[in-house]
Amino acid sequence: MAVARIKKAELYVHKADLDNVLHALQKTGSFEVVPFGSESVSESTAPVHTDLSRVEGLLSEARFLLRFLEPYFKDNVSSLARTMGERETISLHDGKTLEDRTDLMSLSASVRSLERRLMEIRSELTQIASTETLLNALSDFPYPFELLTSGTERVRGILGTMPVSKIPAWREETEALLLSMGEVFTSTQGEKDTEGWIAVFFDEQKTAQITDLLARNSFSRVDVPLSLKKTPEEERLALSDRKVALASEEERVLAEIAGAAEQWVPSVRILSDYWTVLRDRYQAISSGSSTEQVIMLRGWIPASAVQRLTKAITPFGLSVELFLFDPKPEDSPPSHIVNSAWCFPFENLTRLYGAPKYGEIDPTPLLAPFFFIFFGMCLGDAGYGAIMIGFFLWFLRKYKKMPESFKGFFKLFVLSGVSTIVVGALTGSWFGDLVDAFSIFAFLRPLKNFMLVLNPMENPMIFLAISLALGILQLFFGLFIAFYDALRKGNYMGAFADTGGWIVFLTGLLLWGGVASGFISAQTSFLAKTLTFLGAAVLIATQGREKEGIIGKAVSGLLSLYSVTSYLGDVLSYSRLLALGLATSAVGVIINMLAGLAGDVPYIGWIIALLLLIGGHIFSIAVNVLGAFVHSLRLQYVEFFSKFYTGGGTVFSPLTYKTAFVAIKNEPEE
Amino acid sequence: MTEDPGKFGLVLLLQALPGTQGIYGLLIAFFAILKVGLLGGGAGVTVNVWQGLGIFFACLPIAVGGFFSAIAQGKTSAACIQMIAKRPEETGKAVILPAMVETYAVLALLMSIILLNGITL
Repeated sequence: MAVARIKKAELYVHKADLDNVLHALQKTGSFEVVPFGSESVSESTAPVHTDLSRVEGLLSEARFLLRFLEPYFKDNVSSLARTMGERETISLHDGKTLEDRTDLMSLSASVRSLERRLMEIRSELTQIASTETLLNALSDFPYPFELLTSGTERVRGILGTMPVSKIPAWREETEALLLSMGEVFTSTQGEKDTEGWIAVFFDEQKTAQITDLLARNSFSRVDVPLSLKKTPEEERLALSDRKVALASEEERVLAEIAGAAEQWVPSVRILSDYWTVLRDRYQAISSGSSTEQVIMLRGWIPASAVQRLTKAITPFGLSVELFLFDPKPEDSPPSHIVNSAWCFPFENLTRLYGAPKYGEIDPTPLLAPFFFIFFGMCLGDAGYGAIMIGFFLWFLRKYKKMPESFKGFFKLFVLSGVSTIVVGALTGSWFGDLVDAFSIFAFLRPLKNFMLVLNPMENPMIFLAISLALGILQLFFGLFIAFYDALRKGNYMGAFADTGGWIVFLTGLLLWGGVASGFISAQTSFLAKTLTFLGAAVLIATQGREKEGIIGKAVSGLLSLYSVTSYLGDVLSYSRLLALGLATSAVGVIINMLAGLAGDVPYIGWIIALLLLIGGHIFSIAVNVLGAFVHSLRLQYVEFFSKFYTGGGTVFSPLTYKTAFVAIKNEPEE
Repeated sequence: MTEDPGKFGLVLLLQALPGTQGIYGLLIAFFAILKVGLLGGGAGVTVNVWQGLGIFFACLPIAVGGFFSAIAQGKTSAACIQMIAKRPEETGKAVILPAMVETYAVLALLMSIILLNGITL
């Protein structure tokens, strides 16, 4: 239940056996390779595996294929199911066979040519679409486009748009200029058009005057695609023929792609995973160091896995040597968190915050009971809890092969459901007040009332007191952990002065408060005051110890007492347990009430009521589970962790099989 | 979202977080309605001006607290959505951060509930 001990390892491997040893390491999955430190023996360049570049090349091709083909592939396993561990299991040997059988390079070449063709078709279709818009605008243009694009020996043509208001005047002027030596075209305009299409054909010698005239009338020239030769009508017909041809070709290419996807995606997925495994393995040695005959790897092994690893490399006899050291203080080993089964589900919560540093306390078992209770209080409805348990148990049964961390998360929710039921039963909340609101559930009332201990709707102040008391409990627990931790590390000043001072001071204050409000007998008054002043004295004396001069020390010591407000704030923060618990039951009550009102509608009332009940409660479960989870987590992270935990460690990540599509099974040695 | 539609679930979750203030507000509204007996077709309770003002002020904490914290939380959530777009592995932290802001809405809700409870009609 803590951060496991880690050994620093140095592994010397003869090059002849390198591949097999690496394979063994990857299979054991308990060796994290770290880059060779700067104090490396020789400054030789890092060794590179001879096969690495080939595998990387293949892998990038495989990734391209998957990226392109997967959208066309109908998967019979949903991606959710795959994440949940519904994967085909293959052995590395199968991967090798498949690799030999598949000519990936030629496959990817043919897929690439399909991709290129598809892009060409699509870009031509876009081009056609834009030409068609032009042609539609020019539907009454009577000339062949050839006149515009190439002109004849002496005739030039210009096409473009002009503001509608300017067209008549311009037309008159141009016609006067050209007389019989040219022609002017203006398109018919709709009433709302502001721009009209115009074209003018003229003698080459008049070019300067014509362009000048056009420019003065805010003309903007439109270039016609060179491919257009005939009249708009003829061109349009030709284009629509081309479009049909392209569409059918696109369909054919798509069918071909779909066929390729159908045929190849499954094996390319396997290959992609197989090569990823190989690449990881080969890359491991890149962070090692080599001599002529020997590769040297450095890394971390959990102390518990040493035996397994030694066994795995024994068969290679003299060509391998493993040295183990204890980590030195200047090393920063990764943390390998190991927790016993009862609090394993809560480990995810720790990881979410950040793994503990090596040698620090693993907060998982410490936060587990609190999270359990807090979640129950925040959700606090037995009916909702039962539904949660049912749903997540079903999920766990449906996807049996899911990875451990997912399993942990779902188990966490099952556990939270249990605590929710307990709290819900004690507070008499079953789907809000469903049992009391509808007379058909009347037979359940005695059972519900039998378990009911305290109704927070009627006595919110008692529930609030419980919430705050739990908060005080957890904060003191956190302080005591910090106290223990400081002692463990030999930091006596930190233990007795900082944490100890606060513990004494706060205990005193609490007792004093208890006496003042009459909850505790007045006889403890003396004890309370003594503790308070003792704690305060310790704090004032020590909290300024890093400051210069006696006055500086005293002032900052005195000021440190002001932090008592932050403890007060922390405690008050636990009032959310009451608020969220109340909110859940209140939402439930409201849903039941609305359903009850709807039930009074004649004939169809009961249907509406049923829909409201089911839909409303599902919604309420979703929202409140989210709230309960997030808020009970926050209490751990902000209020509890701030007393003793910083996180910031790196998680142990050994060389192992990291796959996306298939699971690798360990085969018997070939 | 544009690049990876698979993140829909996460984004939805983050979007839902600032929405809870709306639910809290609804909750208090219902408490207030129940208090004066407007629901259920029964006879309404006669409320004098002072009691009415009392109920009004009891509703204010969640009204003000919910309004401002929802806006602030929305900004936090939006930032967190961008965060998971870049680093999906940090989703857990992204869900926790908006919840920090929600604290004040929860406290406001608590105050409104307690105040409403304290008014005798």
